[in-house]
Amino acid sequence: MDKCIACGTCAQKCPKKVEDEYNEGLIKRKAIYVPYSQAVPLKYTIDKDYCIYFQKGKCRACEKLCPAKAINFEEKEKELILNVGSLILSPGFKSFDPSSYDAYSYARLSNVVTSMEFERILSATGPFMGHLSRPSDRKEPQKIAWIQCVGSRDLNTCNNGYCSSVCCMYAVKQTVIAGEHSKTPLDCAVFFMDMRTHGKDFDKYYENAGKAGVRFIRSRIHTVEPLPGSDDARIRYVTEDGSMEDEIFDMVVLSTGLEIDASIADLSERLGVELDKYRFTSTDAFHPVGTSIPGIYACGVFTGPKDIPGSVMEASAAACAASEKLSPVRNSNTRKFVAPPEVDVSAQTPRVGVFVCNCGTNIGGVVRVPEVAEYAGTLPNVVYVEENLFTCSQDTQDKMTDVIEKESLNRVVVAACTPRTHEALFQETLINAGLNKYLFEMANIRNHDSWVHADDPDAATEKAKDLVRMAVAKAALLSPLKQTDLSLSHDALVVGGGISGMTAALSLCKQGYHVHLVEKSDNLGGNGRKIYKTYSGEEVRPFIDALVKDIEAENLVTLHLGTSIANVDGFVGNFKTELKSGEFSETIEHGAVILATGAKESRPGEYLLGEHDAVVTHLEMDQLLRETSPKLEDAQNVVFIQCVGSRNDENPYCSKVCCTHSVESALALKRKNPDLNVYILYRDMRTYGKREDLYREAREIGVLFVRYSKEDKPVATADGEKVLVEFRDPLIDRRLAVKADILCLATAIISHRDRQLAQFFKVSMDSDGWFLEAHQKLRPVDFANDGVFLCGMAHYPKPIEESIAQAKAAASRATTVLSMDHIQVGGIVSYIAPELCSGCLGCISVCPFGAIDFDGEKRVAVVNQALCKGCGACAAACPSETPVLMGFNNDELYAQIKNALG
Amino acid sequence: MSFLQALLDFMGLGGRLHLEWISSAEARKFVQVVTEFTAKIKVLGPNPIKGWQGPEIPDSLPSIFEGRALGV
Amino acid sequence: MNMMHEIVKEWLEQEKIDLFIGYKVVDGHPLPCFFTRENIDDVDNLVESKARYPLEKIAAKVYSTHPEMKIGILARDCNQRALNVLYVWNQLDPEKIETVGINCCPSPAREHADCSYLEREPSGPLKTLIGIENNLKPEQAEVYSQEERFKRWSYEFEKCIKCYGCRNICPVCFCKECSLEHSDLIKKGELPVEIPIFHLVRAVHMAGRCIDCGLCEDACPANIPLRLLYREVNQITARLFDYRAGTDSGQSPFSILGENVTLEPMSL
Repeated sequence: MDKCIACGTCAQKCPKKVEDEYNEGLIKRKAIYVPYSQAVPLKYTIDKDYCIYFQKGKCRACEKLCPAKAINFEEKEKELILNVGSLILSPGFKSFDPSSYDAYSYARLSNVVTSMEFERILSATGPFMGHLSRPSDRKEPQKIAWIQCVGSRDLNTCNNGYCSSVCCMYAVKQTVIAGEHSKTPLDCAVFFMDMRTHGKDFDKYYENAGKAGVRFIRSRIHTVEPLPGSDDARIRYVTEDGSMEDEIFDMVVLSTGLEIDASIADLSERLGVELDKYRFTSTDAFHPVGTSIPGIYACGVFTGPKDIPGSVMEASAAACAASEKLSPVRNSNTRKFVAPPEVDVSAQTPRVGVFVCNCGTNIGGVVRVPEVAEYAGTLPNVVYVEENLFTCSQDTQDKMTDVIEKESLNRVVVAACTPRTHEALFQETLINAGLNKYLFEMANIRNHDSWVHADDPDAATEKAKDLVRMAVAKAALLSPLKQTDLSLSHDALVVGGGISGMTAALSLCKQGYHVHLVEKSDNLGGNGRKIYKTYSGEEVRPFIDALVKDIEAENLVTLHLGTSIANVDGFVGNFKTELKSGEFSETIEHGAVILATGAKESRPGEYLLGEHDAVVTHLEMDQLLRETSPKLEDAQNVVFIQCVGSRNDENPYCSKVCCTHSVESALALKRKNPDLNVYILYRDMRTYGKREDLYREAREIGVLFVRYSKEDKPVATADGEKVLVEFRDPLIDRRLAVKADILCLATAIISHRDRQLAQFFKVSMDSDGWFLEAHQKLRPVDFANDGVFLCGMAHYPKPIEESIAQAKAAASRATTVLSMDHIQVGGIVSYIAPELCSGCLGCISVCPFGAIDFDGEKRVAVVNQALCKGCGACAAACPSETPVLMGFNNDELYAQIKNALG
Repeated sequence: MSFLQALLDFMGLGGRLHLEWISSAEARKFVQVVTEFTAKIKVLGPNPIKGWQGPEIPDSLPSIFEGRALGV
Repeated sequence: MNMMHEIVKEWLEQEKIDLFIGYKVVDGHPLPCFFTRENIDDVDNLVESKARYPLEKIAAKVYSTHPEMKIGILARDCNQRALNVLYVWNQLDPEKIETVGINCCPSPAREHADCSYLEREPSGPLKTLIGIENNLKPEQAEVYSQEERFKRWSYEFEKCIKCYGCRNICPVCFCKECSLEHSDLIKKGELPVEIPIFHLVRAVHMAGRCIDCGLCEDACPANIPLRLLYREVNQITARLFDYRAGTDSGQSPFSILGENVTLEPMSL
């Protein structure tokens, strides 16, 4: 495997075609293949079940043709025994197979596809290269229907009673992307029951799709029929007003749900890990990544259906949980690299060595490499040129080390592939040869040249020369860049003493780090103190009490109650934060910080809230339930109104937890008093994931659910001690009224909008007031600013188990900073010469990482090299060319441009 | 970028600047954009900056020695 | 002694300001002048002056070495706009500046307008024929075809003698290192300047900064219609970003890129 350079010759020549499972069987692959183009490691593998040699004993074509001699038919499966302290299960999900839904004609009609198949159709690496076309005749569809809840929320056709959580959002996304891929206006219709776009910014996306013309039709489809004489499909559905419609679509996408494969259930049984009836792990809300076996953890869809950010958070959380017990042995099995001393090249004239790579036939098959190498030799400052079959191979690296020393090279240019994958490798070779690793430049004559100009070798060869000339010109100007080590504080600061903050603090302590826990009020617990139960039925109070006890007993926690943050100085590894408690103030040093400042229940001036005693919020209802208030005993009618202050113009987001909260409270009320009439007035019931079971139970037990629209909201008027609630029932199209003894409002969860805290830690907030993470999908607990992490409702409204998972994730991410011996700064960073800076603050406004500070005394901008990521925004913004991006300075770039132009 | 496009248009160099975000996965789009832009530039003709030979002062005007009266 | 003199004297005496920047007639020429507490009788010589200088630029120079000094300035509307820009770009502290406003702008709504810009010279026949007339509005310069536009602007730019007068007089040009003198961008010691790079570089730097005082055009010995060029630049900025330089919003042009600026890809 080490020898494979992923040139692809083997797959090109392999005579055996196999159905490509990555592309959902829509096209074929070969018996020797990479599973998908972004596979890591990018190595070809033989599918033994189809390989002609393995099946019939003859062929070995790949072995003959492989230029790297990487094929080894003798390799056998090996059994490895690993000694580990913890185990994390992240087996992922399987997309539901809709063949069993006979009514949707999936097995019969090729233009009825699953969402996963459609995902491949839209993908540039997919079967049709991202060209939107339908499978039967490759025609570009004009009209596509999505059918939601296929294999989810369904106990009739399958056994998946849960909601898969992600399908509504991915369907909306697919409508938008399909629209972008379509050359003509595309008619997209989504047939759904409840639109569950409860994630951060999802509701806005849904609203925008609707505004862009996507039709959202609230209707459960029962059949998709073939249209005789065509490849189209016909859908008949009942609209909300009860009329029957008939539409023809070019394509139908079934939004299939997520489920756990049976093989995973077998694995779990072997491990002794208990699963629930849907094959998800079965744990309580307080241990979202735990399993029934201590030391075994789980994350991703295996713990319950969830989207990418949720999975990424849980992955970090599981890593945190898995390493808590192992922290004493951290780094006990690692080795350290010692680099040879660096040669001082400052007084030397440039001596450039150029290595031109054939990349097997990848480059050499198109570009005339010898000609390029010869040309490189004629360029100024070039003293050594070499042509390699594979410049990246280990033996070439060893040789390169020797050559650098023997020829006294002080700049190296490799003309090969992309720095994205190979720069680090070559830089390591430079370090081994005693050269500063920044004295290196690459010319991409593969991806940018031989691959895209395969049909024009002459032009490709000329272009390769151009690219080499540019790289050599820049290389000659390169100067060694310094990286220095900074020491750091191994203490952490956690801001906010709610469930998230306490969880994060305790996790860090378990990893051996000292934590300052700052809470502005005089009590720990936050919103959790006011919540009655989790959706899975556990009481929250005892859990909080136990958490508080643990915090108080923990020696590694310094608790700062009634304390606020007065000032913050410093940066990752070296924050200095001033804490203020009354008159008393102190400054603490810490290496990382976790913001867990939470959110609050809003009290909008709607539906008589605050004016009438019968009107309560969720948290007030929880109190009534916990105290078994007599107010509840005597009640005959209880009404819940959802989305009070959420999903409106003021707060255009979904507060995520309220639907489940109302259903929980309704169930609790109904269980206590089965004669009680409970009404839930909602817009979309968003009981996502396993919460759907509660919704079903509530309907079965007799809770009445009535939908209302944003335009026609219920009206509440005082009626003595009661409240008269009037609303329209869309199913019977009549206005109804209920005299409610209690009216419970699912009021929005809103941000504290602590702008000062955001400024202190140089993090941003979105327009809804939620802290803005570094990347919504892939870095959900990080900020763009290093060393600052995020968890809990300060990020977005979320239930307890998600807060705990995110808190553990934040602790895990903070550990990556705290566990370092030192922080390396410098390299490719920006430098601002104080004598040239006019102090206009332009660079500071555009720096996305908060890496530039203003020195008020000298009136100049100063780059903090520990925070600078080398993006170059400051260099572009400055009106006077003052910031210099090291390694990409004006001289170097202009030299490259001038050489590009001839 | 829109700013520069507008400014160049004002100066008489309109249509010669184009920005498009293309991901590495969008080869088709890249080809399309480059082909279209190349075709557009061919229609616009060679860069007038390179062809600029200085102002064409008409003969019929009074001699340049009359200086400021010309209102240069 | 008029009212203006009284105000300035009072401010100086009461230490509301430490320095007043205005004009004084020297040898028949109105020139910028510092008036101080130490020499307070000199305030009687303070005049409004029809001629204009970037007084705020002088103030910014003072501020860079004496940030504690409180400065009073004789301010026309254009000076006021320039001050606003300098505040935004952190070159002056609004807390340290007091202004005495005077009537000026060449607007029909003003009765006592008093500004050198009001006395525009008409264009001569050559300029009308092959150049760009200075008194045009940006829209009027767009009636020409692309080819014609390029020729006419190139004619104007070619006249440039690279005296840097436009930059030196400009009240909102404050960089210590100027791109127009950056050897990588502008070739040294060559005339005519590189067409149109030299003027475009300056035009781009005027985006979101130029406050349309017209001093550059007044200063230009070659009579290049710079004010018209920068007016267009500002119109584009206003159209694309809804940003108007010199208003008192205090907003930096660097903060108008949108509310969620990250380097990461856009979310779904």
